[in-house]
Amino acid sequence: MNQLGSIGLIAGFAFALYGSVAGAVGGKLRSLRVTRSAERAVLAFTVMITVAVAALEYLILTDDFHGAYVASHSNRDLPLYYKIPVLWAGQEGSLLFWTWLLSLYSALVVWLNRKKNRQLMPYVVAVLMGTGVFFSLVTLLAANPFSELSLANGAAFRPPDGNGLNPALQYPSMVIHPPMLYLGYVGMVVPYAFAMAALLTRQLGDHWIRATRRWTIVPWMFLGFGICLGGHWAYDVLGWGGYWAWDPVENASLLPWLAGTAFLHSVLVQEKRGMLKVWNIALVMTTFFLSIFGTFLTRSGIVSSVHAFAQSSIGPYFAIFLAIIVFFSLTLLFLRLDALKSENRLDSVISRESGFLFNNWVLMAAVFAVLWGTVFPIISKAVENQTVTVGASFYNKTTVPMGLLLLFLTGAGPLLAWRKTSFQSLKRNFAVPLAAAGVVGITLFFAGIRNLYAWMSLFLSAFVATCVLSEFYRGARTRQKFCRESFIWALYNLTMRNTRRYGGYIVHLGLVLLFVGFSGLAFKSEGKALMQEGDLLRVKNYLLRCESLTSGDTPNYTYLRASLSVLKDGRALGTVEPERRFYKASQQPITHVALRSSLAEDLYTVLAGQDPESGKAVIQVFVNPLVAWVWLGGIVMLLGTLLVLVPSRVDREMDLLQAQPQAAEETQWL
Amino acid sequence: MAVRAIWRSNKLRRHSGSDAAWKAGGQGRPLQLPAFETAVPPANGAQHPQDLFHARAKAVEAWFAVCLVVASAPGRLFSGHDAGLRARPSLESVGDKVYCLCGCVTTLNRCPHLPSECWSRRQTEEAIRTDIAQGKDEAAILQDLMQRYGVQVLAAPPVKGFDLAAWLLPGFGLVIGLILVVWVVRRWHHPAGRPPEPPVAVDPKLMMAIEEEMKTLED
Repeated sequence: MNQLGSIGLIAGFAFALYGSVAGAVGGKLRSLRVTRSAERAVLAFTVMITVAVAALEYLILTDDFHGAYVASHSNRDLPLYYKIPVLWAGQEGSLLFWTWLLSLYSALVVWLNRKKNRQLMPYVVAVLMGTGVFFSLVTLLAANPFSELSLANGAAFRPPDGNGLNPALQYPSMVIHPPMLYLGYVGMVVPYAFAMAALLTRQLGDHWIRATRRWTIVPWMFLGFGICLGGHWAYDVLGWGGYWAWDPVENASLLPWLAGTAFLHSVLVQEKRGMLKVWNIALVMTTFFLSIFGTFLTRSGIVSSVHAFAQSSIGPYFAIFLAIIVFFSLTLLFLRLDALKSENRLDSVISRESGFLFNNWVLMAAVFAVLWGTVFPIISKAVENQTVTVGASFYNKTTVPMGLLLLFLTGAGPLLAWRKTSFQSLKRNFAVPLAAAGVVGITLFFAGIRNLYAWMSLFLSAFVATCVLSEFYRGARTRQKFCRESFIWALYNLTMRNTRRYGGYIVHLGLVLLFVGFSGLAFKSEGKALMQEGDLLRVKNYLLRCESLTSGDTPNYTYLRASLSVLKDGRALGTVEPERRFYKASQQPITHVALRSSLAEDLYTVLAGQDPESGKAVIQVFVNPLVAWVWLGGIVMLLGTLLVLVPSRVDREMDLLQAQPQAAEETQWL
Repeated sequence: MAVRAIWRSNKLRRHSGSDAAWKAGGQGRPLQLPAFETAVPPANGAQHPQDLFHARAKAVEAWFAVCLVVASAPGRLFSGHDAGLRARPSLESVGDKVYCLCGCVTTLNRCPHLPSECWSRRQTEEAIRTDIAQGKDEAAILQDLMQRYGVQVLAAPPVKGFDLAAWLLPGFGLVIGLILVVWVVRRWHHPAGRPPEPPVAVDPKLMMAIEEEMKTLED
């Protein structure tokens, strides 16, 4: 099976290489035959990489420890549902997984564009397969998951059991968190490929933007959802009471998401007004660059990270690939600057266009701040020869004000009209949200909220929520008046008529919920104690009593469990049972947090360990306000994005009108 | 008071210059304002330009004071996000600003190991406790730890030397980005590179007739 996997990988590399060259040649010669051949190579690449993935999964599921990868990341007693994610648990497997997702995206792009975007497709295939060449080559040369274990004399070696999966990864949300992130990272290659194809063919209108709109939203959604799942995993597993630590690997996922968010907003300006063409191309390039950079950062181990479970020598390969991307993209952009002139001018400084410019400014400033903080330890090491740590306090000081500014723009931007906003309109649109935010702000102040950032976050959340809800209300009322519909029906029709706009508003509401959740960080309380049966611990208005300490044994791990009964303001809330597990195969301990979650606050209990002298359990308790709002915000953002992806009635009508002339034009080209 | 002073100074300015000067300014030529010493006092009995200068200076002072009050208001009204710096240091407050050096790549407070099983956590916590007992403030404790373990023990770069760049560049990035956005907005709103409109050929007789007509109107 190892041989079959290797053959799949080698054949995949060959097909990717052929597809890349044939795509470029087909585009240059405008040959339909060569282009179709390149597209068939994409499908063959997908089949071959799927064979390699299936072979590796088979090896994992059958406990075949001949292979170094399976022996390092799996063991016999690992439950089946944790054996499947072993595929992406280590360096080699995750690179193969990356390549496989790329092949699936590429095949989907080819299939969905078999009758449209014919001018762009040859070069799109060339760029997609160029990326495929790189990843399959790195997997083959530097991180082959099919290499076999052997003894010093060259004889094959099969250990009786494997080292097991990293205990931190043995958690339900960890099963889907990496695939979500990877779907986000990998998916960003599609808009990049279309942008490069648009530059190469000089088709630089908004056609390529319309063609890639959904191809950008989908990976952006996966990336965002993946980040939320990662936060949820960190909260439940790492046991320090938080969900975001500004770790380099966390930052690596945030960077392309922020750049992608900027792109999703600025494309609207190009679609509506034919402006920001250079900027949009630059943003697509940046997003793709940051996606690859994120993978590089996660996998190369060039920065210290709590997630650095996969380190190897693939760094130089990625550095070369990143350099090629930058050189190729910038050269092409520079050569096509003449074709990227704006079609319109700004009619007024107070307009939706300006709003988007400012939104992009804040987002890209945040990208810069996070990127700078992430790479600063490397720069400092090079300049001063000393390792500097850039931790959460740096990011909180630099990015929180930017986040608040962004939150304000989230509410204010949609209230501005395209081209020009009159003072009367500004007054009318801002009066109610500002009044609502003012009432909330004053109430919070007199309720005792004295943390400036938390107060501003809640104040602006009220402002944005009112802005968004008033947009829904005004639209539905107008529709109710003119179409004689009930309010609920008018609201539904309004949303479905322009899913992109109203789905976007729901995403903004999700962001508001996230910020409400973030505000809770300012009011966190915690306590720690050595406890045995009968001991009490008070944290804020909670009283915890240790009822029992039990230990046990399973095939996969041994555990120590504390049973704590909880009283809040004297009222019994039941028991919580935090655990500390010790995984036998990997010989690593891990905490399993016990939570009592509500919209108001979470009671977060951790069994940090057992004191060797007294035998008592070390219990840590956190009272974390508003954390549930963060998860709720993530879900609302996901739902909003899904709504954006639903074709709106207006779009469908436009598609029908545009379909025929475009098809005729494309038949002429090839 | 300050608002009234500015309103009054604007009112005075409107009365002090001649209509011709306003028109000249409007056409893009530099507006020649009379020097204060030689200026003719306004005929409507308003203030002397010397008083006008004082009024403006007072207005600026008043606005400066208002801005200071507004800027310092959050600090007075809110306990602030950096309240921890002013409070008496504790093991928890310092533990958030210091990294554990056992290889767990987290702050001391977040180190997943128990002090009994982690040499770094045990030693660092002991050092912090000793410093707190000696009455040192947070800055002194951090300095002490830095001397003992090197700069890598700090959870954020120190605000000095090359490491100052870590703190300054995000702010510079934000400001430069803002300047760029404002420049783009201004350029697109008032395109500077737009070529001048070509002169329109007008019949000289027609031109003279227009000028005659204009003179009649002016009269």
